[in-house]
Amino acid sequence: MRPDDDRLVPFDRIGADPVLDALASELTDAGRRARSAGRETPRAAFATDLRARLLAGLPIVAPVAGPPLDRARPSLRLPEPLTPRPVAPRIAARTPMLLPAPRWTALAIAAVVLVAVVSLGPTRLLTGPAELRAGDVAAATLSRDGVTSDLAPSEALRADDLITTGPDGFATLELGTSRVRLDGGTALRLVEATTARVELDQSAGRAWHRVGGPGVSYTVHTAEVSWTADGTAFDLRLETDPSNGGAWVRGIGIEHDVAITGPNLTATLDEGAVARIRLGRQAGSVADVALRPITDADLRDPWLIDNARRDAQLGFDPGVLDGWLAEANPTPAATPDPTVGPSLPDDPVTGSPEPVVTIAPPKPTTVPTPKPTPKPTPRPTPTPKPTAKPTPALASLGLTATACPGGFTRLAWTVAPAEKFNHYQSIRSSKTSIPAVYPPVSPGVAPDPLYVADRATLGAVDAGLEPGSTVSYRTMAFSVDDVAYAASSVKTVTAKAVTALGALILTPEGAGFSAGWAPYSGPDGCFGFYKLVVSTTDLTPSYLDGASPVWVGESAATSSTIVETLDPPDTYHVRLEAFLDTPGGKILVAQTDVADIIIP
Amino acid sequence: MDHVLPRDSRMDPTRERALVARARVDAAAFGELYDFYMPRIHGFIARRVGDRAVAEDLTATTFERGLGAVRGEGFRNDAFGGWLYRVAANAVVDHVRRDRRTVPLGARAGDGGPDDGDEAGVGDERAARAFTEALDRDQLRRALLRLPENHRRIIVLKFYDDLELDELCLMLGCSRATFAVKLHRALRALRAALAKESTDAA
Repeated sequence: MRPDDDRLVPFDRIGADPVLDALASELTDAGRRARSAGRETPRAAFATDLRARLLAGLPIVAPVAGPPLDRARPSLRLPEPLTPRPVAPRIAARTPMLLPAPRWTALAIAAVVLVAVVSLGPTRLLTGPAELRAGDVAAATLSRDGVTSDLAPSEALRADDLITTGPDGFATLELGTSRVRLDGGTALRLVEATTARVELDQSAGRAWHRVGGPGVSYTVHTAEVSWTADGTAFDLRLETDPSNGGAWVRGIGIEHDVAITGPNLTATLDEGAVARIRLGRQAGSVADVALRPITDADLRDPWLIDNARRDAQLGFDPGVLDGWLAEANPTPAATPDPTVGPSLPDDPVTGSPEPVVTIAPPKPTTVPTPKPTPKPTPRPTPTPKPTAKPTPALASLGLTATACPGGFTRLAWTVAPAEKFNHYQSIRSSKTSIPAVYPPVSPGVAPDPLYVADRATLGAVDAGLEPGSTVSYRTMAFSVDDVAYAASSVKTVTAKAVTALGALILTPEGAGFSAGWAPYSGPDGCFGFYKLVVSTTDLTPSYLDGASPVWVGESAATSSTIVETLDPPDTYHVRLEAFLDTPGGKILVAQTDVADIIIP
Repeated sequence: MDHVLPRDSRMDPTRERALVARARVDAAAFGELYDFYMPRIHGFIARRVGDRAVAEDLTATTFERGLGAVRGEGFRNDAFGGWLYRVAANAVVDHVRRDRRTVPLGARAGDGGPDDGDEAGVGDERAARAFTEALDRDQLRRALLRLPENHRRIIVLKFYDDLELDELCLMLGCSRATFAVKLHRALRALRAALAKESTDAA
């Protein structure tokens, strides 16, 4: 077992062991005493100066502005109102007659921002720099500031916009590198959308959500239930139960996991899983959640397949739909080229057979649109734009992964560009899709031995794997800010058990013996040295358990040796072992059976 | 002005995320993050470097990077505190690395100074020594110092630096469950070392 293996079920309570509990308490007290010694307290002058220097380049937003993200949904407000604390005066009372230049600069910037806030309004000012616009659109409306109008292709969007599609409509919304596609009868409000964070409120219908790469926090609220993802694709559909009128939301994890939260509800929608959650529960009631693996019937859904296909064309991983794309669409050449002509409808359902999923389609009754005006023929996009790449360009690293006997993998990679380098980190995952991001996306883990701070060190060993298990690796180079700027492709290996070298043949030779064995013949790079170990008490001697080595050989091709003297008279249990020496310790690679010899 | 905040206070993660999201355009939001984390980060660094000026320099570097990150594109806004600690730890290592390139006359590497050894553990070693001075029992002091570096580092980060669980996980690059395993093993190792100290003393 490895300490960095997420599959482990840990001891999660030190208190289960009273001795450890007491030890932890003693350490806690000591830590408190040590911290209160005061030597680490920053000087007030330093703290003040640094604060002023850092904040000098930032605009000061008046507290009255408030967070625009909270206006639309009071029920989804943060636990405490996010009213930013005004910059507190750090040096009191006396205002100098003549301020130094940097403070004049800060005040000037603050004044400009204040004027901007007053004249433009906080919403416009606080909207992030991400490009927000409609993509392909048909029969959709935009509600903004109480005014509803037809949504036009490529129309610019902003926070607090409500987009509604008619029963036969559709819409693609491009939110920076993320995008969401709305099926007919869907209502979606842009609560917040910046390059770093997207927050949406889906109040009706069905939408395919594609999170644009690492670093983007993406949350969709469906009534009291929220779905949060990072570098992910998932599908959300609000449904009405015709038997009782109850409302449900169904989520499908397409790529990577999605965190689900709500009142009395914390769950994870795994990739390849389907969650169905009842909405509108009474406060304090138990969450009504059904989680199940995705089925072939789910995956046959043309809506899912076509969205995955469109994402794949944009360079995204289709996740669980990977195997279905080729099957469902053997002629990808039919995809329109967005650079040479107007875009075709983004709605993959239009013109397609009905979805196989038998759940009743959502009715637009809950859609707060005043005038759904179906438009079966989408308007051509006058100026189609090339689609932006979802992730920043990464430099390429070469990677080889060698499964060595003994349950470990030897990784070797090529050197990363020097600029930005801080460290290498290889990610291990049970899945073959490993985003170039840190912290790793579950089920990926970042084992400590695979962290390498030296740019010239181009290899590492990952030990402790379960033989027969299949694991994938991706090595990345990170900047000091933990942003990956170079990455390898994903390499997959199957862990191997310790190699059995068979019988060890012992023949008496004077006061000792000669030993012969079948030499190690495993992968290059997995062998370090042989040790021939003996014990008079341990029937299964091993160097790792303290047995005495009587011979060491460094050539894997060696198949025999002579041990000239052993203390007589005694019976010796003898075994040959092969090891690889790694920074984490010696790893047993191969071994023979134990043989006994009597030294008279 | 008092920058010594209550050690046991924790910033609500939701509020922290919201502050980080706003910090790119709102001085007050970044100011609140600064006020909360600056004493902690400074303390973390000060425990690892001996010189106050160096600690202040590295603290400034950490927050400059923090500000640059939250204002930049694509910052992963999920654990700002843990990320800051990691940047601070990297800054300490970078400092040590630079420091070793400029060995003063009369000194040389390998002289047996307290910071000889693995670069990544240099700062932690200093923090561990400071932590042991606060321990009441001599045997426990010796046991902690004889622990393998990986175990000792976890104990120092947890009990001396008082990092929050998410911060620890981000620092160590592991999940919560994995950290629980690591901590449990470290405490067991400390208990075993303590038992050995008791035996040796007898």
